Amino acid sequence: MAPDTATGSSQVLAVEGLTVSFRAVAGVVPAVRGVDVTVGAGETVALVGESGSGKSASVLGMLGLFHPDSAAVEAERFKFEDMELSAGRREDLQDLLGTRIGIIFQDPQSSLDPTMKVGKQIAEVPRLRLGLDRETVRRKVLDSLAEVGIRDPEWCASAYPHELSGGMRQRAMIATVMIAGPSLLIADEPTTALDVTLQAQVIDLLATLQEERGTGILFITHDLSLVSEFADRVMVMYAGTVVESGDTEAVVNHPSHPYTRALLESVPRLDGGQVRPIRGRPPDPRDLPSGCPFRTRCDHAHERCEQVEPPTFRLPSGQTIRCWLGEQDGEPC
Amino acid sequence: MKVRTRPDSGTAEAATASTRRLTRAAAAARRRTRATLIMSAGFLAVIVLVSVLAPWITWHDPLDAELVNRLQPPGWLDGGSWSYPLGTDSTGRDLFTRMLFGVRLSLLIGLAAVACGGIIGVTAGILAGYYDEKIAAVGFGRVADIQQAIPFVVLALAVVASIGPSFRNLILILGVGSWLFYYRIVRGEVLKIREESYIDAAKAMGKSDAGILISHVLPNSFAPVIVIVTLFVPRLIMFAAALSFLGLGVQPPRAELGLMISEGRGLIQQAWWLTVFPGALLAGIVLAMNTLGDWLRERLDPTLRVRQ
Repeated sequence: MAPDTATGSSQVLAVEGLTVSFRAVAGVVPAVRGVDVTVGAGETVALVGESGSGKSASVLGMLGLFHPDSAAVEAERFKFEDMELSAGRREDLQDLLGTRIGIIFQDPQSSLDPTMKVGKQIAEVPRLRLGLDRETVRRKVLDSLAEVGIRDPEWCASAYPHELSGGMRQRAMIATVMIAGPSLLIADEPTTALDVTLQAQVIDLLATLQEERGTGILFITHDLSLVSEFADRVMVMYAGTVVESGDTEAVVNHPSHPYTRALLESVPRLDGGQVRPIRGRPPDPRDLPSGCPFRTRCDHAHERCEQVEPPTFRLPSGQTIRCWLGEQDGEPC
Repeated sequence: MKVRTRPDSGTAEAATASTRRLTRAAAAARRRTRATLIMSAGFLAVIVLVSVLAPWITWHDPLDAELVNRLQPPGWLDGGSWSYPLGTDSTGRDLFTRMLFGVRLSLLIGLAAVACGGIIGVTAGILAGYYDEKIAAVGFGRVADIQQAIPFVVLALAVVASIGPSFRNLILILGVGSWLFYYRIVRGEVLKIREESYIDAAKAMGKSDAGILISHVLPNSFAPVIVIVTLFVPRLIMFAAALSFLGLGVQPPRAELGLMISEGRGLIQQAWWLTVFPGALLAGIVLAMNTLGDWLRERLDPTLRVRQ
């Protein structure tokens, strides 16, 4: 039941049946329970969910960024570009990280090393990994800083991170990640720590860079409204599974899973519509309710939800949902 | 209303007056601190310069014994000669020359021992902090615990008894004796640093562990190391002198401050200068280094800076 690639172009990333479990003192915590992700070249896929829904865990897990002692990562299939790899193995991914796969983190305040000049940090991948000579690297660094909209690249390159503003730091971070021209960019809540005007600028910047280079973007966020303007496809995660996924248009305009609907209604809107928080709390992954994990917070829950976890249904509007509500007019896939 | 304003303004005035007094006192204290700092720094600069240039400053050889001139008092006393400005020892060697070379050796020992302990301690601390769960990391901690349970002098005695006293062994003992202080501090720093998102970012850039440790973890854990270094150079100079005094460090006939004090000890009634001058010099160096070290620590440690 691989989700369709909207653009129809080649797939950069294809993951099937991804599971990530953390080893904690209290036992094994299943944070991600069978997730399929595909990202095509030039496509933007948004992974949306509350804190603890497993969105970051799936991405960081499959790239082997968790310590192998603390997390177990498995996938039926993990394909990057044309390479069949094993998910979560850092040795397999080490060469790809930084050069073919770039990751931008949430907090630009702390994702740059405070003791290293910005230019030097940006230069690391071209210098150490691509083995370019000093002059080429210098030019590349200045070019990439200019490209992300920094007005005085010379100054910025020789500044320490604390001398830059939050927005500039996130731009510098983007320059660091984009300098090697990765084919997949993973953005883990890249705008959460920024104020709203900067959010828009950063998103625009990512979109521009994507258009120029055809980078596939996997965008992790909890902000569904941010996603609706930017993403080609949306995957909504809840308690370690994807509960609804499909083209952005379909998901945002015809949200079909009760959780997606609730999520959209809980976003404050300018037209004065009532904000409706989702009642209850996300379940503890160590102690998931039987059947559908969302049923304890769901207005549509009935007996069957308690007994059997729903399979995935494809709806006429194009998206797939993991809810018994899809049984009526959707078909199982 | 008036009734209420009067005491208010009174307290306000009193407050400003007392604030002013405090500010003045603080300013005076700052001036004093500054003067002490400049003196300490100046003294140390002279000491370092003199010890580096020792062979060109003096006209005697530190090991050249002239029994004819034994136990000469300093130049300004009766029977003293300005050829031996601070007098001579029991074998007729020039005290001033021996002090110059003694300081040279003491500084060398201090720096070398700190470098030795620092390299071991910082390396162990970084490895233990970064790979906290690994058995090797646990091993460092246990070794440090065991070592801390043994008094330093006892440890030094045991080591010297087994490998023999020498200049090289002295440095080794002091270095190995102090590694755990660097280890403890650095490990704590690294435990904090490894959770920083720039470490995650570096991992996400595909950097190797070695690359991350050298270019991110090491520089970020270095500020407290500088502070320990400033504390330990004088402390280890002191220890080296103490061990030499006990006969466990530098061996005669070499000139070393602790050894010189020890040699002059028996003659303190006839030739007080043999113990007083080297002792005063040692105390002065350690005092100046500690003063500068304290100042540096206050500058580098933000929790102490708030106080000012």
